[in-house]
Amino acid sequence: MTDQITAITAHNVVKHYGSPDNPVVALKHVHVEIRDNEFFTLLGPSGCGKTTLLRLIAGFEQPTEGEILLYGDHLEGLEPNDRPVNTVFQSYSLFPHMSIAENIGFGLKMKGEDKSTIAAVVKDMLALVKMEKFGERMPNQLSGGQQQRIALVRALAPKPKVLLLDEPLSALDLKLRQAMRTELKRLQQETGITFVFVTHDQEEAMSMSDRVAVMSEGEVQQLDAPKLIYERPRNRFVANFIGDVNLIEATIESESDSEYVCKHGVIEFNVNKSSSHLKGDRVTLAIRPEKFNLANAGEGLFQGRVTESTYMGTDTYLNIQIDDTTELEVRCQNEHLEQALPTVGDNVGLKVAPGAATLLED
Amino acid sequence: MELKLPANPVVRRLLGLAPAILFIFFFMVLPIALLGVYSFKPADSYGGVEAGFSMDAWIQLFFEIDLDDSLIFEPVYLQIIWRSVVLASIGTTLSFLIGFPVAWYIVQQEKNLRDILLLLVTIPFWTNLLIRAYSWILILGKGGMIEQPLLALGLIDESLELMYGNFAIGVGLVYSYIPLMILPIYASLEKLDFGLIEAGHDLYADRWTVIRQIVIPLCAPGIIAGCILVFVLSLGDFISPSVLGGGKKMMLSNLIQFQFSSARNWPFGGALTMLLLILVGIGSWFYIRASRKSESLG
Repeated sequence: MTDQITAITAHNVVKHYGSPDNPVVALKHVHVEIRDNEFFTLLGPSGCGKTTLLRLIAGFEQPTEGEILLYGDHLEGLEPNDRPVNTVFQSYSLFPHMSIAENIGFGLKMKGEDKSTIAAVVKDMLALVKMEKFGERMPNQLSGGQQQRIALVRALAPKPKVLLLDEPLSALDLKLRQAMRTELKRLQQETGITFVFVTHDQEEAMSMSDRVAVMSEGEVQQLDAPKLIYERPRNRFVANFIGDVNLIEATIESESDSEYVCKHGVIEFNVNKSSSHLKGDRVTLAIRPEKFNLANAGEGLFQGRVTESTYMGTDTYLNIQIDDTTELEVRCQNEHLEQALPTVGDNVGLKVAPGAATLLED
Repeated sequence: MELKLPANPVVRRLLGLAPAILFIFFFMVLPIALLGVYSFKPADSYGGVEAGFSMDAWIQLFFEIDLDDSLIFEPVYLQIIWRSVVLASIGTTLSFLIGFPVAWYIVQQEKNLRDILLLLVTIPFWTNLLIRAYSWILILGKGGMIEQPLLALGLIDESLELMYGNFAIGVGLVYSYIPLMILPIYASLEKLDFGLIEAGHDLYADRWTVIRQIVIPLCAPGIIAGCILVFVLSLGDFISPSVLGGGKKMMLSNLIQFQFSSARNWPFGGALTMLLLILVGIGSWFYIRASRKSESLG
């Protein structure tokens, strides 16, 4: 692996709002390193502090404690107009009294570029989002998706070192949102600019990001590649927030060099050793619904009875009771029309792929 | 009893607008039309008008009749009008320069404080304008609140002569009408998307540039409304010139008032009023035309 250049370092950043006596804590000791040229996503529910972190980087707010560095340079005390980062706003915030070309050229004009340079960049930017003919239009003559693209290239035009995107797709309808995901990823790769993307939508985070920081209650819960976030959630919050999950209470029976054997009733799961647990500890395991495979009754690792079956098109969701207290959600792909899936009341056997279970920290 | 509405949509619409139309006709159109008609009649000696047609009033605006009945151009009334326009323009400019920052400050406060500040802005309206004008004499006058401490401290040796001149009239105009500048600007600032200001800062514009290139163009409707209100009312104000100007500097409004009272020359008063209306109309038309572009974008 090559040496990674760090684009942004947020070092022990704390942010309080309100009076010092009775502060509202937005961020508590966040430490994040964002690499050069990566598509980095801050993912979390509203109020988790992700937008606050973005606004601290942009300079709209100042951290209560801690420091933020941009390619090694301290940003404290710098106004937003003195920071080489640009923001794509949730509500686009295009200047309604300026044409599209003037909007895109605004940042360059403020930086004192000459007219011919600005015109050339504006042309390139319009071409980048395939809207060459829209330069003379006014923002209110554009659809939401078009405004979104203009907001994007307006922020890209001054060639920022880092582009900050604050839930830029949330105002678009589903189809457009999906198209824009591909486009955003393409733009990031074509421009080579570091993107910091804020969203509450896990699909957006999964589909575009190189790495994702899952945030909750002002803290980073997990920072990993999307695949690891999904397959190896660190705690209950991450497991629940991303995708669907079965949480199974179990006891550690024994341990080898790399694995624990955890037991839930008679069922045994092998999980990777992570944090320090001891034999006999009560732990929680996370298993995604699609990791189970159905078997005939009496076969497989363990037995259960179907209590609910929901046909969802690509999949069928089954609820399977495996003991008095535990009901699992199991997802089976619908392969063909004649496929015989168990119905409510059927007894079934269940298998689990090895390595499917993850031991949660809390 | 069932009320039958006429089927014709135009008639129905007119019927709905009838109260407004009647009000405007009787209280706006008719009085102005009467003034217009009076300005073309000969004056009688008791303050009324006589039957017949006469251009005397309009001729009097621009000319003096010489002994041999020839007309000599006489700019004294035009000078008064010009002086009034200049003073009203200065008053409007000062009101904007003071009022805009005030509105900008108010809109940045929290909701509760905003309401209180707006109330404070309107409080002077609760007192009679004349009384408020007189109170400025106590502040600006000889030995008043400004001069007294300065004299006592020995910073000045003699009176500053603040009262009874253009300065005092200007102070009176700005003081009287600045709420009418602040309120419309506040209203348009309140509607302003503050995300646009952040976007401007984010795109390397400093605070002053953001105000000049983003805030002011987007608040143009409010600014123009405030300017029209202050300008029109300043031009028509006769309290500030007579009380604070001491009546030494005749203004258009004093002149008009004078024609209808002491001078008993209603046709000339009517002609002056019509001229004022025309001036204000032309000014407003230019303002509105300038604002139409920015408004159509809102």
